[in-house]
Amino acid sequence: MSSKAEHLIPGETLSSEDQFFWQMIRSGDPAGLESLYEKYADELFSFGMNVLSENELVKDCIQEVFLELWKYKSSLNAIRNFRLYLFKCLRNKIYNESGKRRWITPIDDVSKLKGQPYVDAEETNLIASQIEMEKQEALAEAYGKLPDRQKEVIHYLFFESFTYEQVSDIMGINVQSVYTLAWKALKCIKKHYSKGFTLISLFYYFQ
Amino acid sequence: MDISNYTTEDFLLDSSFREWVLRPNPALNIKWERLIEEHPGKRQEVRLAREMLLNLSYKKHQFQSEDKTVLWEQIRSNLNKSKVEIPVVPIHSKSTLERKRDKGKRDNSWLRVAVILVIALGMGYYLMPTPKELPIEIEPDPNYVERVTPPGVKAHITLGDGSKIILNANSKLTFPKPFDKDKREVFLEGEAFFEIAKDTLRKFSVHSGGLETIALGTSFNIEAYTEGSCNVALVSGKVKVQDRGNSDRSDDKGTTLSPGEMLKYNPKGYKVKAFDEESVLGWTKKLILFDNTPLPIAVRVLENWYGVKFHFVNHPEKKVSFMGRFQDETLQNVLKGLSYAAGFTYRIDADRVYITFHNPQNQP
Repeated sequence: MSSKAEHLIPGETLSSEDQFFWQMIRSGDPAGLESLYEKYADELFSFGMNVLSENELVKDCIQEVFLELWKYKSSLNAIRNFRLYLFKCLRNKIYNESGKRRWITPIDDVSKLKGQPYVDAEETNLIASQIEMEKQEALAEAYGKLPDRQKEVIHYLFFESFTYEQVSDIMGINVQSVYTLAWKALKCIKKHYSKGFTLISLFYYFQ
Repeated sequence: MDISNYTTEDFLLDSSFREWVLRPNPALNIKWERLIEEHPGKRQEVRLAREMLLNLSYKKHQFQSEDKTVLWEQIRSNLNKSKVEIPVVPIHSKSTLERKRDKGKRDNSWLRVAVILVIALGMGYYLMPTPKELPIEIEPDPNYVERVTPPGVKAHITLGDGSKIILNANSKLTFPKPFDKDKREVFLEGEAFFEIAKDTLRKFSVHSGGLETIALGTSFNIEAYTEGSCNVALVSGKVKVQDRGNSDRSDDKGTTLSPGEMLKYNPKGYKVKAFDEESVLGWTKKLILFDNTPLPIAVRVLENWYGVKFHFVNHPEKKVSFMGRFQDETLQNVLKGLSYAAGFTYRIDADRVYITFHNPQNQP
């Protein structure tokens, strides 16, 4: 296993639980694999669907990732970070199986966006929450317009909380490129966002 | 840290800033509040960065619990198939094909030609021998050698670099052949004694039960039969032991052992103490040594040593531990020796051993 894959975030505590599951897997106990599946399947599915909105294909790929982990359990070296490892495997599986259509983020469906921290139906907050909705929409739209690789970098850094080193490992590019892609993406989003946002604020201001 | 040149993007790219906004803690609060106070001109940038971070969201796809269960059942049933079934037809090109057909109802023959051409080119793209993107890590490495000992059998292994290893029964050692140019790494499940050939340029490390033991030229014993725990006993030279999870952290220097010291590790922590060479290394010299050894450990030792399985007809009423020293003895003699002091009778039936304890109430 490449040593690059094993960088940890400073202060990140390694999941000894995962290492325990791994020991079980290595000893041939499927319960270890099941535990790992139970723990990460939701995240992996959601991530996969963000890469490619094809339910069946994403599920197939998840299946293969776990089957291969099982199949090669004795030849695989130590895996330090299972979350990173599984994301990387799934990402590559999907990339191998899918064509060029990736990272299509449907932006029409903002109500289903994760978080919605400020959306509140109380009347007093209605306008405020509408502004927040507009903000989220504007950002989602800006994000949707980014080139695939920029979307991908932002997704890992902002939504999956991976470090620059980990993203570089997942995507197979150097850390500097990750940084550059992220910077370009944010510049684009900011430009789009501050423009839209100013208009929205003015609109509500004059109402 | 200097933020005087920070733009909104720079704040967003700073993982410590993101951490502060999304998952604040007292230390980060102090750090960032102070920084912003020192640079009041940056408030606008900070505000925008914060707002973008909080409002940038992504679509969370719910994995229906029923789907999740069904998929696990599929994985479970495919586990022992020798070959992973990987769909051969690239799914997307097939779907492309079908989609294009539906559209083709308009009967524009020129469009059909164009579509067929596109498909042909598309197929060509897939058939082209492009370098494979991933499986670097999941392909089984043909250069790895695996030595496995069943219960009752020990093995002497000499590695390419001249290091000698005695692998105890019911253990597995995995190592690359040949070793890398810059390191020698092996993986152990079970127990082994290592006599490492000197090579100051290539460290020798053993991964076992969550620990990494690093040596330059030395001899030591590692026992990692129980999942998640591991004992490293150093006979000569020097070794460094690191928790495998922490070895990438530069502040973690690991623990260095001196000859005669043993590190006992389990998931809760570890301790270092002196060890008795005969009881730890006896197995390499056909010696079984029990010194107040608890029943479960003694059973494991004997099961591995003789390749038998113990069955207990009844349970002892109080805790049983064993004392005894057996040099190259038969199972019969070992059991005979132990049975008097520990108070049990035994019966050996091929590879099974039946133990009956004499509990006072059972006696006439």
